[in-house]
Amino acid sequence: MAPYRIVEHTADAGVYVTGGTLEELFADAARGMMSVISEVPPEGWPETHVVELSAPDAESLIVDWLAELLYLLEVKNFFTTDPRVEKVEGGEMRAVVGGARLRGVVHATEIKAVTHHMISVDRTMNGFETTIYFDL
Amino acid sequence: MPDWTKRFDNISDYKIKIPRTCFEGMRVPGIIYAGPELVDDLKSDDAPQQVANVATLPGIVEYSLAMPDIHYGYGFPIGGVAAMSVEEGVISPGGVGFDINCGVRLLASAIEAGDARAKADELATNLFRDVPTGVGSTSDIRLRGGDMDKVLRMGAAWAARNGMGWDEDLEYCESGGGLEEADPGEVGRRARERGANQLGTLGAGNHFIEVQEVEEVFDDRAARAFGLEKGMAAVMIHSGSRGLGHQVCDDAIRSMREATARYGYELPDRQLACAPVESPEGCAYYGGMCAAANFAWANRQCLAHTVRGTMERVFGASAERLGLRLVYDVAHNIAKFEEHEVGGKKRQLCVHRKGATRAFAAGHPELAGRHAGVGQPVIVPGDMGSASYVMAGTPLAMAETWGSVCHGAGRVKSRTSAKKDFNAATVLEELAAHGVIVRAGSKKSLLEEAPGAYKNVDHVVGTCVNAGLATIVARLRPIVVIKG
Repeated sequence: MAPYRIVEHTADAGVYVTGGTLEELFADAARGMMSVISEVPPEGWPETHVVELSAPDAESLIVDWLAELLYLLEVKNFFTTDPRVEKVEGGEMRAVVGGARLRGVVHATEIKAVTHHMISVDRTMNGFETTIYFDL
Repeated sequence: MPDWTKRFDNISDYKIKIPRTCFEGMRVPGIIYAGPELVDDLKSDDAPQQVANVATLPGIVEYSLAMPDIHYGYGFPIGGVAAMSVEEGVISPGGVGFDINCGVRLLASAIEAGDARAKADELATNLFRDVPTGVGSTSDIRLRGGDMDKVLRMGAAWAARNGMGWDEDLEYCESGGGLEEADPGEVGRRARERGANQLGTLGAGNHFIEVQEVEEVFDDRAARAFGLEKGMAAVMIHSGSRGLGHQVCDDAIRSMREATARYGYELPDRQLACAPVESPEGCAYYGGMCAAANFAWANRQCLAHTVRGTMERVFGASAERLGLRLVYDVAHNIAKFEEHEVGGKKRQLCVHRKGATRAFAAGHPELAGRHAGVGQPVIVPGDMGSASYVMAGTPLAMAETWGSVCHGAGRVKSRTSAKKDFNAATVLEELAAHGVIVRAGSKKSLLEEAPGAYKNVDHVVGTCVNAGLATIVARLRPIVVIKG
């Protein structure tokens, strides 16, 4: 099964994500979000960023993680292509994020924010699942 | 999803009630304004559930409301209106939205629509070049030192006083284009970083600039008061607070997600995170929201300045000579402290409008002099293939919806479906056949915003009019559409 799929939402967009571990879930949520922005990664200079975050629970943490990648895109012009999530545990996470520093304007979908709408990180027989909605 | 229509009580042909008993935790009933042509749309997504969810919020007064452009949002439905008791109620950033003060501005002109059509290609090319659009676009306006704080405090006035507007513009903005309660201290570092290069940029998604024709006038007196004349061109600008506002909301939700538990609220959706209106968290959010709202008004003022400049070059005359006067500028994602009558007594309420427009009636003290006798202009953009409308607020809106009406056509098709169902070349051909020239940042953007993705704006506006919430003043047709 694909690690993520786009889910229907009247005004906005969502991704349904699965992962065998929380680390996989977080990494695939990032890939899912970036695919909403642009199905084909735009070209740019290779770059890497380290992300370290903490939050009260897994739901808040995954929203904060994706919000961090949006911030890197909007302010640092950095498009995530290779999110290597090393640790998600006890309300903390660490990732080494590979991607591209973009050259100028990209005609892609603008995600205004990651929402908390109906957010829930749930255990499944094969690991974890969640659905995350974005404000477009 | 449940068939909500089976649980509704039809109060009238245009007003549907969701009884309090429908859903556990509802403190007040829900009221959805939807005419017969729109009722079926209510079955297509779970927006009524969101109306019911809002009804569970502490201190909500009388009803959880939804306007006829209602559709599924996140937390609040789009088209949602909820007034909260200042003393006992909550303020919720989700009830305003991430795009704080997303709104619409309309400029009238003395340009004949025929002349605008004759230069449509040139207008499209020049506007698309002059107005920064798309992800990663930046503005030529560089904010230095204390400039950002001034923008956040002053709103549209900052732009007007820095050579980007006319002083009279401020009189024709909701709230004078600036809220006094703005607190720049509640706009954090990230929000400032995101907004630093974005003042005067359009954004993407459903934001647009349109050159339009005033196709029909339905109320001569109101049209004269608004400065609209049949057969003349007009310009409509739809944009908001850009990344700065999005971050202010994000930061507030983060702060309130902890506060919600501390205040003992149990919410059906985390996106409804809230705090008491008069709490430190509530006051902090409101101060930051006002600052972000002011950024949005400054943004639309700067965009209007850019548009005036482009029109000057294309038509070879000054903006003053071209008569490019501001009709009005409305917010449709905002929370306001307003005085309304409840049970025969005047009360101060915190009114949340999420995809809904203020529509004050004639005589309201906040109205500009020219509008006092006719009511507040309400600008309702349709999809790019159809019409937009200008309406005026009524006393019945004041009595029933806290002086609120719809904000647009409202989506009926998801972006995913729109991309599957529509074809870019066909959309462009159909628009061209209706005399509409479009410049969009990408095919994806064009498809996602294709006319078929939206409800019929005539039905949405028709519901507001038939329910007595607004009167129609004019209908406008697009000639040129610019999108990110």
